[in-house]
Amino acid sequence: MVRVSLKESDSFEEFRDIARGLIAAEIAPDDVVLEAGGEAGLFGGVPPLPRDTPAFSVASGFIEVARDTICHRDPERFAMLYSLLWRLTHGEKSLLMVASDPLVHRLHQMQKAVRRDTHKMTAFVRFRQIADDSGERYVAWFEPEHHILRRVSKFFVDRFAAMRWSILTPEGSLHWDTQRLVHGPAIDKSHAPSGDDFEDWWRSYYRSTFNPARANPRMQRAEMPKKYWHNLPEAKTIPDLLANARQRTGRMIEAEPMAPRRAHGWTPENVAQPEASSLDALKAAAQSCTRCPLHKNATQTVFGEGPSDAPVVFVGEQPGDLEDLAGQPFVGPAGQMFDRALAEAGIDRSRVFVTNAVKHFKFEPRGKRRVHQKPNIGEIDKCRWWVESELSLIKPQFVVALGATAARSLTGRSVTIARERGRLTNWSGRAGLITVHPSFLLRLPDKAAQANEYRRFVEDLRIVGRELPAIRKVA
Amino acid sequence: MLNTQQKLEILADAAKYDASCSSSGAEKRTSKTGGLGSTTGCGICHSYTPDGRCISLLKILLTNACMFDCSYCINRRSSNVRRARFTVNEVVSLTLNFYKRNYIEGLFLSSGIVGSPNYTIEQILRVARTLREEHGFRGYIHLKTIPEADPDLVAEAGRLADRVSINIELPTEEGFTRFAPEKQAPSIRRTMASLRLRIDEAKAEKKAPRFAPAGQSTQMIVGADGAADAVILGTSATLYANYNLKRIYYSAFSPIPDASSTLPAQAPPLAREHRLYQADWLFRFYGFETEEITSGLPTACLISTSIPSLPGLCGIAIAFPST
Repeated sequence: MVRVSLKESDSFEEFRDIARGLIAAEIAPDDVVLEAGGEAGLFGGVPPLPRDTPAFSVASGFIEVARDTICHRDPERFAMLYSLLWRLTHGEKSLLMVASDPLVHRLHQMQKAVRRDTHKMTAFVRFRQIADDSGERYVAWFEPEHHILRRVSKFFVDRFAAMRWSILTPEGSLHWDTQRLVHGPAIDKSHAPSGDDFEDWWRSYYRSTFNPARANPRMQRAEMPKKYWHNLPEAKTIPDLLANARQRTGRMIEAEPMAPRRAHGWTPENVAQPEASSLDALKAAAQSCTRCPLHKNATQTVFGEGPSDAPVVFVGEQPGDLEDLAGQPFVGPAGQMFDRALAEAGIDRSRVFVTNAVKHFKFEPRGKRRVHQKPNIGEIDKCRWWVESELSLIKPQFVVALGATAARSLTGRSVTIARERGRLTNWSGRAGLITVHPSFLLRLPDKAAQANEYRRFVEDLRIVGRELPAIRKVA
Repeated sequence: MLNTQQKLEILADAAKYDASCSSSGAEKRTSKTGGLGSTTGCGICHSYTPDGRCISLLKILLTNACMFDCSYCINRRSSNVRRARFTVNEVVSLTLNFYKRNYIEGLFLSSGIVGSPNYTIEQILRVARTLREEHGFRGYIHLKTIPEADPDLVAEAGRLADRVSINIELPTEEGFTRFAPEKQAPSIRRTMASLRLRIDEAKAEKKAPRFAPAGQSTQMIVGADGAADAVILGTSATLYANYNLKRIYYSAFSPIPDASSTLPAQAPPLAREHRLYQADWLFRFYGFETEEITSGLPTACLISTSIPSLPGLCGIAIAFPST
């Protein structure tokens, strides 16, 4: 029987060196006793085996399990880890995957306990401020369940790097002076400060943020077990808060409503109302449109944009995802393609007015995305009022319908785009033209077909340019 | 005159009906190069009150005075609740002192609307700016944005905060008209849309200025108006899809001191709130559609009997080979 006493209770490196020696010497787990120095109990320390033994590889995952479980309070942890290592290197390479193995299961539980304890320590340490010759200093007393002091230190250094602080525990202490971290010996609780002026404020906050109508002490204890309470300044208020919760809630439910307090109400700042008959007034009025149900899910009415005396108005289908968020028409992918085609057709974008047949985005929510849906005839016809109002204020010489929805809106009938596109026509006394919607081009899967259709689209736009020399770009 | 501690009691009480407490999602920061504080990415709950809810952030209002008169709100204009207002320095000092003692992860600051939307958000921004710029505070900051505030001010909120939020509170427009007549559902949605565009932009381009790396969230009150669960979940689905919200909080309408007589005085529907969170989880993490969750519910509610099961989900369980 070999007996090995480890100097440290939480050092993976020390354990690793010793375990390498034991494996190299082919010493089976049953033939060795491993324990941390301070926890040695009946056995005396035996000098460790020579350390310059070769490294070997071990199943991935072992090191993580070892680093975590070495911090566990269980005195058997080194023996368990050595057993695991032995089996991993003696024919059970995939042992860590066998969650039902009693040893693996136990080590995983220990790993979880250590991680939880570490996390709870970052949460429940409460510093108390004291003053010494060099200024303010923060000191906490804490009783972790496992040997986690070393592993938790990084959190406090990262967070409170500019403060001088100490954390005292029954097993050791941490001291940070804004530059260096020192691991010191255990310091008795009586040396920790006994209070802090801000604890009273903290308790005030704790009491006020508690909602008595939701009292749920079981849930509280699950997340903040009682073993931590004696070091939490706020915990002493818990019994009173719970004792009064039912009464306070009852009083709120039964109280007769008081007379409402009279106070000045909300008066929106006086926004200059745009002239009643202007495009701006129409746009403002359209913001609160509820003529069809599409307003319920969309963000906003997306009104047309462009000069109020534009010689030509382009009418699209409806705003898309980006247009709905931004509140502007033709800013999404189809809008960008439209801009490109206009430029290629030699038309000055700043001289045209763009709008949509339907002013709200119609879509189906799918998880984090919105899937475009075609507006139906009812929605198109309801929204036509706005399109007509836009046109009658702008009085363009020419109107272009982009796609079937716009064609329906402008002609009042169902139009087959393929049959009627690219021809000069006239509807209700307005000169116009029907062509495809740029989003149709984006949907074509075949690159060659897309290029071909794009050329035809630009051709259609050139017709518009020829009809209206005023919108042609000056070369 | 109220002292700061009395103000703390009033303004924490006024803020506690906001269920949001998360301090997760921020980019990792430490104070090793100066300043105070850190964020680890996943947030820490520093304490739990006897209602089982965590305390992660110092959650307070700058003031509980408000020009709006929303029936469900403890701070509504016509409420007889005691009013208070923090100064910027009081909030800054409270935050730093709590933080240095490891009570909190940071600050969650909201406010009643006073003066004007711009004025209100400017006060909130002054606190955040003082913390970040004068004190090098690197802890978590969650700011409420105010609809109708100037876009430049909203942009600054996103630059200073880890998370921004705006509460929709009521799931239907009819609810708004009845209980929050001065609030405008469309302007809340417009604000969410502009936040989304900014968050997306900051994510897409490395060089773009920082904007609320932990995203945006919102809250809906459950049980104040008559909206059924199916309606609430439908609104949630739209909000998630429209604005890519990090999460929606469901807050069971809770009795408040000096409640409005137009609202139900009863214990908060906690079980219902719990079911909504479960349904929300199925929706967000398991890819269920709201119809799958709510179809087959006899009353469009997730709890129709005393048996705590989801009728709609039972249907799903049958549809899936579970063995």
